Amino acid sequence: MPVLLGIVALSVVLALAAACGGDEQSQGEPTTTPTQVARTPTPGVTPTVANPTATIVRPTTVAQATLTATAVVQVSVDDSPSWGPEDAAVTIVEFSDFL
Amino acid sequence: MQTLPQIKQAYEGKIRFVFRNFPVHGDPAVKAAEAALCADDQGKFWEYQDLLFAHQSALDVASLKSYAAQLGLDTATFNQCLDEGEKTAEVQKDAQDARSYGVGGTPAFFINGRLVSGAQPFSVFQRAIDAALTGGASGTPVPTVPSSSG
Repeated sequence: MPVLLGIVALSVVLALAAACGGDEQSQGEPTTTPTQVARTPTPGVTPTVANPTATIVRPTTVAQATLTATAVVQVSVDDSPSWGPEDAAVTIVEFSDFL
Repeated sequence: MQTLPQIKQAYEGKIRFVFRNFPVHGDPAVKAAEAALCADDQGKFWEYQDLLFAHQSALDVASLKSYAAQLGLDTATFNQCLDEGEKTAEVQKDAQDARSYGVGGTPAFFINGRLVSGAQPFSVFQRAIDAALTGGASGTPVPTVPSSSG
Protein backbone atom coordinates (compact mmCIF):
# COMPACT_ATOMS: atom_id res chain seq x y z
CA MET A 1 0.00 0.00 0.00
CA PRO A 2 2.70 2.59 0.80
CA VAL A 3 4.31 1.82 -2.54
CA LEU A 4 1.02 2.45 -4.30
CA LEU A 5 0.54 5.75 -2.51
CA GLY A 6 4.06 6.79 -3.46
CA ILE A 7 3.45 6.03 -7.11
CA VAL A 8 0.21 8.03 -7.06
CA ALA A 9 1.93 10.99 -5.43
CA LEU A 10 4.79 10.88 -7.90
CA SER A 11 2.34 10.80 -10.79
CA VAL A 12 0.52 13.84 -9.47
CA VAL A 13 3.78 15.75 -9.13
CA LEU A 14 4.87 14.87 -12.65
CA ALA A 15 1.49 15.83 -14.07
CA LEU A 16 1.60 19.23 -12.37
CA ALA A 17 5.11 19.83 -13.57
CA ALA A 18 4.10 19.06 -17.15
CA ALA A 19 1.08 21.37 -16.91
CA CYS A 20 2.93 24.36 -15.45
CA GLY A 21 6.39 24.00 -16.84
CA GLY A 22 6.11 25.15 -20.44
CA ASP A 23 9.13 26.07 -22.48
CA GLU A 24 10.47 28.39 -19.79
CA GLN A 25 11.56 25.50 -17.68
CA SER A 26 13.13 23.78 -20.61
CA GLN A 27 15.72 26.55 -20.94
CA GLY A 28 17.60 25.62 -17.83
CA GLU A 29 17.46 27.08 -14.38
CA PRO A 30 13.96 28.49 -13.89
CA THR A 31 13.75 32.06 -12.81
CA THR A 32 10.73 33.81 -11.48
CA THR A 33 9.94 37.38 -12.36
CA PRO A 34 6.84 39.39 -11.54
CA THR A 35 5.82 39.19 -15.19
CA GLN A 36 6.06 35.38 -15.25
CA VAL A 37 4.06 35.13 -12.07
CA ALA A 38 1.34 37.22 -13.59
CA ARG A 39 1.24 35.04 -16.69
CA THR A 40 1.01 31.75 -14.77
CA PRO A 41 -2.63 30.67 -14.79
CA THR A 42 -4.16 29.64 -11.54
CA PRO A 43 -6.64 26.77 -11.81
CA GLY A 44 -10.18 28.04 -11.56
CA VAL A 45 -9.19 31.70 -11.92
CA THR A 46 -9.38 33.65 -15.13
CA PRO A 47 -5.91 35.01 -15.93
CA THR A 48 -5.69 38.75 -15.84
CA VAL A 49 -2.91 41.18 -16.55
CA ALA A 50 -1.58 42.34 -13.26
CA ASN A 51 -1.86 46.11 -12.95
CA PRO A 52 -1.72 46.89 -16.67
CA THR A 53 -1.30 50.61 -16.15
CA ALA A 54 1.61 50.33 -13.77
CA THR A 55 4.72 52.28 -14.67
CA ILE A 56 8.22 51.77 -13.46
CA VAL A 57 9.22 54.47 -11.02
CA ARG A 58 12.91 54.59 -10.47
CA PRO A 59 13.89 56.03 -7.14
CA THR A 60 15.83 59.20 -7.65
CA THR A 61 16.75 62.29 -5.77
CA VAL A 62 16.07 65.90 -6.55
CA ALA A 63 19.74 66.42 -7.10
CA GLN A 64 19.95 63.66 -9.67
CA ALA A 65 16.90 64.98 -11.42
CA THR A 66 18.28 68.47 -11.66
CA LEU A 67 21.68 67.44 -12.88
CA THR A 68 21.09 64.66 -15.33
CA ALA A 69 18.24 65.86 -17.45
CA THR A 70 19.67 69.15 -18.54
CA ALA A 71 21.30 70.11 -21.77
CA VAL A 72 24.44 72.18 -22.00
CA VAL A 73 23.65 75.82 -22.65
CA GLN A 74 26.06 78.38 -24.00
CA VAL A 75 25.55 80.98 -21.30
CA SER A 76 26.68 84.52 -21.86
CA VAL A 77 28.44 86.09 -18.93
CA ASP A 78 28.35 89.66 -20.22
CA ASP A 79 30.39 91.96 -18.07
CA SER A 80 28.32 90.95 -15.10
CA PRO A 81 29.64 91.02 -11.53
CA SER A 82 31.90 88.06 -10.91
CA TRP A 83 34.64 86.66 -8.76
CA GLY A 84 37.29 84.09 -9.51
CA PRO A 85 39.76 83.78 -12.36
CA GLU A 86 38.37 84.41 -15.82
CA ASP A 87 40.20 81.36 -17.18
CA ALA A 88 38.84 79.01 -14.52
CA ALA A 89 37.94 75.51 -15.67
CA VAL A 90 34.48 75.89 -14.17
CA THR A 91 32.18 78.85 -14.54
CA ILE A 92 28.99 79.17 -12.55
CA VAL A 93 26.44 81.69 -13.73
CA GLU A 94 23.66 82.48 -11.31
CA PHE A 95 20.40 84.08 -12.36
CA SER A 96 18.58 85.48 -9.37
CA ASP A 97 16.72 88.39 -7.88
CA PHE A 98 16.74 89.98 -4.48
CA LEU A 99 13.24 89.15 -3.28
CA MET B 1 21.83 82.29 1.08
CA GLN B 2 24.19 79.92 2.82
CA THR B 3 25.35 77.83 -0.09
CA LEU B 4 27.26 80.50 -1.94
CA PRO B 5 29.71 81.23 0.90
CA GLN B 6 30.38 77.50 1.09
CA ILE B 7 31.08 77.35 -2.62
CA LYS B 8 33.37 80.32 -2.41
CA GLN B 9 35.25 78.90 0.55
CA ALA B 10 35.69 75.51 -1.05
CA TYR B 11 36.50 76.55 -4.60
CA GLU B 12 37.89 80.08 -4.54
CA GLY B 13 40.65 80.30 -7.10
CA LYS B 14 39.33 77.28 -8.98
CA ILE B 15 36.03 78.54 -10.31
CA ARG B 16 34.56 81.69 -11.71
CA PHE B 17 31.22 82.81 -10.32
CA VAL B 18 29.07 85.24 -12.27
CA PHE B 19 25.88 86.90 -11.10
CA ARG B 20 23.19 87.93 -13.54
CA ASN B 21 19.83 89.41 -12.77
CA PHE B 22 16.50 87.74 -13.25
CA PRO B 23 14.01 89.85 -11.30
CA VAL B 24 10.76 87.93 -11.25
CA HIS B 25 9.09 89.53 -8.27
CA GLY B 26 7.90 92.80 -9.73
CA ASP B 27 9.14 96.36 -9.84
CA PRO B 28 10.93 96.39 -6.46
CA ALA B 29 13.04 93.46 -7.57
CA VAL B 30 13.84 95.21 -10.84
CA LYS B 31 14.89 98.39 -9.06
CA ALA B 32 16.98 96.42 -6.58
CA ALA B 33 18.74 94.70 -9.46
CA GLU B 34 19.50 98.04 -11.06
CA ALA B 35 20.77 99.41 -7.75
CA ALA B 36 23.12 96.46 -7.34
CA LEU B 37 24.61 97.16 -10.74
CA CYS B 38 24.98 100.82 -9.83
CA ALA B 39 26.92 99.67 -6.78
CA ASP B 40 28.99 97.44 -9.04
CA ASP B 41 30.13 100.55 -10.91
CA GLN B 42 31.79 101.56 -7.67
CA GLY B 43 33.22 98.13 -6.95
CA LYS B 44 30.77 97.21 -4.21
CA PHE B 45 28.40 94.79 -5.87
CA TRP B 46 28.88 91.86 -3.52
CA GLU B 47 28.73 93.99 -0.40
CA TYR B 48 25.62 95.71 -1.71
CA GLN B 49 24.08 92.36 -2.59
CA ASP B 50 24.60 91.19 0.98
CA LEU B 51 22.71 94.23 2.22
CA LEU B 52 19.85 93.56 -0.17
CA PHE B 53 19.50 89.98 0.96
CA ALA B 54 19.61 91.13 4.56
CA HIS B 55 16.82 93.67 3.96
CA GLN B 56 14.55 91.94 1.51
CA SER B 57 11.48 93.50 3.07
CA ALA B 58 12.78 97.02 2.50
CA LEU B 59 13.75 97.48 -1.11
CA ASP B 60 12.05 100.77 -1.88
CA VAL B 61 14.13 103.38 -3.69
CA ALA B 62 14.85 105.37 -0.54
CA SER B 63 16.15 102.25 1.18
CA LEU B 64 18.22 101.28 -1.84
CA LYS B 65 19.90 104.68 -1.68
CA SER B 66 20.46 104.40 2.06
CA TYR B 67 22.26 101.08 1.62
CA ALA B 68 24.62 102.76 -0.83
CA ALA B 69 25.35 105.40 1.78
CA GLN B 70 25.97 102.68 4.39
CA LEU B 71 28.68 101.24 2.17
CA GLY B 72 30.30 104.62 1.68
CA LEU B 73 29.51 104.84 -2.00
CA ASP B 74 29.44 108.11 -3.85
CA THR B 75 25.75 108.70 -3.30
CA ALA B 76 25.40 111.40 -5.92
CA THR B 77 26.71 109.07 -8.59
CA PHE B 78 24.74 106.13 -7.24
CA ASN B 79 21.49 108.09 -7.02
CA GLN B 80 21.88 109.42 -10.51
CA CYS B 81 22.55 105.92 -11.79
CA LEU B 82 19.43 104.63 -10.10
CA ASP B 83 17.13 107.56 -10.81
CA GLU B 84 18.00 107.81 -14.46
CA GLY B 85 17.70 104.10 -15.08
CA GLU B 86 21.23 103.69 -16.31
CA LYS B 87 21.10 99.94 -15.63
CA THR B 88 17.57 99.29 -16.86
CA ALA B 89 18.67 97.92 -20.21
CA GLU B 90 21.31 95.69 -18.64
CA VAL B 91 18.80 94.16 -16.24
CA GLN B 92 16.36 93.64 -19.08
CA LYS B 93 19.07 91.96 -21.12
CA ASP B 94 19.87 89.63 -18.22
CA ALA B 95 16.23 88.66 -17.86
CA GLN B 96 15.83 88.17 -21.59
CA ASP B 97 18.86 85.90 -21.68
CA ALA B 98 17.60 83.95 -18.68
CA ARG B 99 14.33 83.22 -20.42
CA SER B 100 16.11 82.24 -23.61
CA TYR B 101 18.16 79.73 -21.60
CA GLY B 102 15.00 78.18 -20.21
CA VAL B 103 15.20 79.64 -16.74
CA GLY B 104 11.77 79.65 -15.18
CA GLY B 105 12.46 80.75 -11.64
CA THR B 106 15.09 81.89 -9.22
CA PRO B 107 17.65 81.08 -8.27
CA ALA B 108 18.98 79.22 -11.28
CA PHE B 109 22.59 78.22 -11.84
CA PHE B 110 24.50 77.14 -14.89
CA ILE B 111 27.58 75.11 -14.05
CA ASN B 112 29.61 75.00 -17.22
CA GLY B 113 26.36 75.42 -19.05
CA ARG B 114 24.34 72.81 -17.19
CA LEU B 115 21.28 74.09 -15.40
CA VAL B 116 20.79 73.51 -11.71
CA SER B 117 17.44 74.88 -10.63
CA GLY B 118 16.47 76.12 -7.24
CA ALA B 119 18.21 76.62 -3.94
CA GLN B 120 20.04 73.33 -3.82
CA PRO B 121 22.23 72.22 -0.91
CA PHE B 122 25.96 72.59 -1.13
CA SER B 123 26.37 68.88 -1.80
CA VAL B 124 24.60 69.24 -5.13
CA PHE B 125 26.93 71.99 -6.25
CA GLN B 126 29.92 70.13 -4.89
CA ARG B 127 29.12 67.08 -6.98
CA ALA B 128 28.56 69.11 -10.13
CA ILE B 129 31.62 71.29 -9.66
CA ASP B 130 33.88 68.36 -8.85
CA ALA B 131 32.66 66.55 -11.94
CA ALA B 132 33.26 69.64 -14.04
CA LEU B 133 36.73 70.17 -12.61
CA THR B 134 37.70 66.62 -13.50
CA GLY B 135 36.13 66.85 -16.92
CA GLY B 136 33.58 64.18 -16.10
CA ALA B 137 30.64 63.34 -18.25
CA SER B 138 28.34 65.66 -16.35
CA GLY B 139 30.79 68.45 -16.25
CA THR B 140 32.62 68.73 -19.51
CA PRO B 141 33.95 72.27 -19.58
CA VAL B 142 31.95 74.42 -21.89
CA PRO B 143 33.24 77.91 -22.47
CA THR B 144 30.84 80.67 -21.76
CA VAL B 145 30.37 83.16 -24.51
CA PRO B 146 30.54 86.92 -24.42
CA SER B 147 27.35 88.78 -24.92
CA SER B 148 26.61 90.17 -28.31
CA SER B 149 25.31 93.32 -26.70
CA GLY B 150 27.15 93.81 -23.51
